[in-house]
Amino acid sequence: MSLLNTLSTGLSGLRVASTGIATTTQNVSNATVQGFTRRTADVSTADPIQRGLVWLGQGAKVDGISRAADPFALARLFDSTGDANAASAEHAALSQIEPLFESAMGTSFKGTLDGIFDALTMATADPSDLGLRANVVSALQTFSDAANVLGTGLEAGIADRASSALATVDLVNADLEEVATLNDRILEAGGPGAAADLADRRDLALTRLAENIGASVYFERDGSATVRIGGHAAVSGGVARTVGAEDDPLGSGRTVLTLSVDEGAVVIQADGGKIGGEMAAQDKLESWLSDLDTLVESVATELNAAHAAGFTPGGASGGDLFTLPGSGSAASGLRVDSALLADPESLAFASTSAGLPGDGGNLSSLIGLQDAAIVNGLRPTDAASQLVTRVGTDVTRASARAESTQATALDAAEVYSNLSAVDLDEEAVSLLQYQAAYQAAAKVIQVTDETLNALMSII
Amino acid sequence: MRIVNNNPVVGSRRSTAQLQSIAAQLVPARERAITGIATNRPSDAPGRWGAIYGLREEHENQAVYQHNIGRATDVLSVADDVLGSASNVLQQAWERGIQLSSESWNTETRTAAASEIRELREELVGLANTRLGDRSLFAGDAWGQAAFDDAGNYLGSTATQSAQIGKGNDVLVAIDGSEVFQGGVDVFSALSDLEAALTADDPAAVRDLLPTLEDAFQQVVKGRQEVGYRQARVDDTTVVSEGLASMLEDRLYTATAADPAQAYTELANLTTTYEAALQVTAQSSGAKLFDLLR
Repeated sequence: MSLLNTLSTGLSGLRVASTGIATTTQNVSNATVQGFTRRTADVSTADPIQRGLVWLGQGAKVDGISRAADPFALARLFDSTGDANAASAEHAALSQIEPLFESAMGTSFKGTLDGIFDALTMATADPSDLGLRANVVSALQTFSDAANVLGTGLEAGIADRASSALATVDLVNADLEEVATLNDRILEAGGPGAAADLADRRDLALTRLAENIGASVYFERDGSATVRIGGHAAVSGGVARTVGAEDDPLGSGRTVLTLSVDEGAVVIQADGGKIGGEMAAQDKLESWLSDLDTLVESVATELNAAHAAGFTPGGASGGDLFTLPGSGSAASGLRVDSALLADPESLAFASTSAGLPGDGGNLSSLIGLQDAAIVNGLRPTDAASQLVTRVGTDVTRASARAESTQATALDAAEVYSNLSAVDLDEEAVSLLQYQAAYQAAAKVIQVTDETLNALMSII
Repeated sequence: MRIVNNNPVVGSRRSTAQLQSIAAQLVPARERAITGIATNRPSDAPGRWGAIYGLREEHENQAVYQHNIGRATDVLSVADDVLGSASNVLQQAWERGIQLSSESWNTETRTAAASEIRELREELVGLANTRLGDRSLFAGDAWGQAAFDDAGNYLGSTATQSAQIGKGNDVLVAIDGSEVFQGGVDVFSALSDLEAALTADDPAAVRDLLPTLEDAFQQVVKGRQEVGYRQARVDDTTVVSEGLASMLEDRLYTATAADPAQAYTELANLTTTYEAALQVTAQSSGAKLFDLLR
C-alpha cells in the first residue's frame, strides 16, 4: 500500500464522518418537526483494489441516506389513528347531547313527563281549583318545553354532525391531491429513499387522511402509496379521485359521501376518522330522535284523545291539550294548545256536560294513561326510562371505544416513534462518534502528510 | 429494541396523552365530590336508571298523595265538626221534644219552644250549607251552589268526587248531603213537624215524633261516623305514605349518592396524580446528553 493511497483512504474517512455529522445535524434540526423521519447515513467499506497479489482497502464510502420508516408500523398507525379519531368524534358528539336528557343541573325529561300525571292526580282533590288546574297547564308546558329543547338539540346535533363531516371533505380532497402529486414526485426522484423529505410530507398527508376519513394505505413496490376509502381506490399512483357529498340517491334524505369514478360517482362509507365518527354519531342521534318523537307523539295523541272525552266546567267538550307539528320532529314541534294556556278552565276534567265543579270523572281516564301501554307496548314513563337508559348505554359504549382505540393509537404511535423518531441523546452519541472518526481520519492524513514530508526532505 | 427517550415531540405527545387521561377522570370525580351524586348523567350508570326512575316516580307520587291527603283532611275535618254540631242541634231538639211531650207544660211554653225549634232547624240548614272556601261541603260534586234551600230541598248532586291518596286508594272528598240529612229520615221535615206539633200545643203529636227525631239524630251521627271512618283511613294512609316517602328517599339516596369518603379520596388521588404528572412532564425536559457535551 502506498502512502498516497493512505491519504486517499483517510480522505474517505473524512467524507464518511462529515456525512454522518451532516445527517446528525439534519436529525437534530428536525427533531421537533412533525412527521420528520430519522435519517441514517448508510456507510460501507469501499471496494478494494488489487495490486499484484494483494487487495488494498480503499477506506469507507457513503452508500446513501436512508429514512427509518417501516411501512407496516406506519400502516398500523394510520389504521389505529382512523379508528381513534372516529371513536373520539362519536363520543364527543353524543356526550354533548346526553345532558339534555338528564344532568347534574336537574334537567330530567322523564321527570317532566311524570310531572303531567302528578299534576293530574293532584287535581283529583279539587277539580274546580284554579290553582290545581293552572298546575296541570304548567306541567303540560314544562313537558312541551323539555321535548322542544331535546328535539331541537338533537336536530341541531344531527345538522352539526353533517356539516362538520362535510367541512372535512375539502381537507380530504386536498390531501388526496397532495398524496397523488407526491407519489409522482417521489417516483421521479427514484423512490422514498432518494426523496426522504417528500416521503415525510406524503406520510403527513396520509396521517391527515387517516385522521379525517380513516383511509387505508398500501405502499406499493415502486414506493407509491395507494389510498383506499370504503374499499375504493381514492389515490392510485399519481391519480387522485374526488370525495363528494350528495343527497342519498336511495332517497333517505341524508347526505352521503361519494367518490368520483370514471362512470360518475359511487356512494362510499368512511372507514373511520373524524368523518366516520361524525356519521356514526349522526346515526345514533337520528335513532334517539326517532324514539323521542314516537314517545312524544304517542303521549300527546293519547292525552288529547282522553281529554276530548271530557267536559269543561262550562259544559264544552275537551279540546286538544297539545298540538303536534304537521311535519318534522314531533318533539321539537310540540306545543301546548294556546286556548289552554290562556284559560285553565278549558281543561276538561268532568265526565258530564252538567258543569258540576266537583266532577273530575275524566281525570281518571287521563291519569290512567300513565299505566297504559301506549308507546310501542310500553308505559310512557317506562318508554322514557328506556330511552334514557339507551342514551346512557350508547354514550358509555362510545366512551369505552374512544378509550380503547385511543390506547391502541398511542401504542401504534409509540411503536412508530421508537422506530422513526429522532432521539436527541442518540444523536449526541452519533455526533461524538462522527467527531472522533473525523478527528482520527484527519490525524491519519496529518501523519501521512508528515511522513511524506519527511520522505520528500530526504530527496 | 430502540426506545426514543429524548424527543420533544414524542415526549410531549406521551405527556399530553397521560395528562388528558387523568383530566378525563378528574371531571366526573370532581362532579361526584361536589354534587354528592354518583349518577349525574345517563352514562354514569346506564343500567341503574330504570331503578332510579322507578324510585323517583314513586317518591314524587307520595308527595302528590300527601297533597291530596291534606286537601281531603281539610274537607273531612270540617265535615266532622259540622256533623258534630248538627247532631248537637238534633239532640237539643229531641231533648226539648221529650221535655215538652209531658202534659204538665202549658201552651205558652210550647209556643216559645216551637220558636226555639224553628231556630234550631234554621241552624241545621245553615250547617248543611257549610262552605269550605268556595265549596259547599254537602252538595256532592255540585259544590258551587248551596246544598239545601231554606225549605230543606236538596239542591246538590248525588255524585261524589274521589281524591287519589295512594296507588289504587281513593277517598271521597265530596259529600252527598241528601244521604246525610235526608237518607232515611228528612231531618229538616222532622224539625218542621216538631215545630208544628208544639205550635198546635199537641203533646201527643210531640210524643209520636220522638222516635223520628231519634232516628234523625242517629242518621246524622251515622253520617259523622262515615266521615270519621274516611278520616281515619286518610290518617292511616298519611302514616303509610310518610313512611314510604322516607323509605323511598333513603333508597333513592342509596341508588344515586356518591360515597363521600370514596368520592373525596378518588378526587384527592387523581389531583395528586395530575400534579405529579405535571411535575414529571416539566422535569422530563431537563438535563440531556447535549447539555453535558463540552
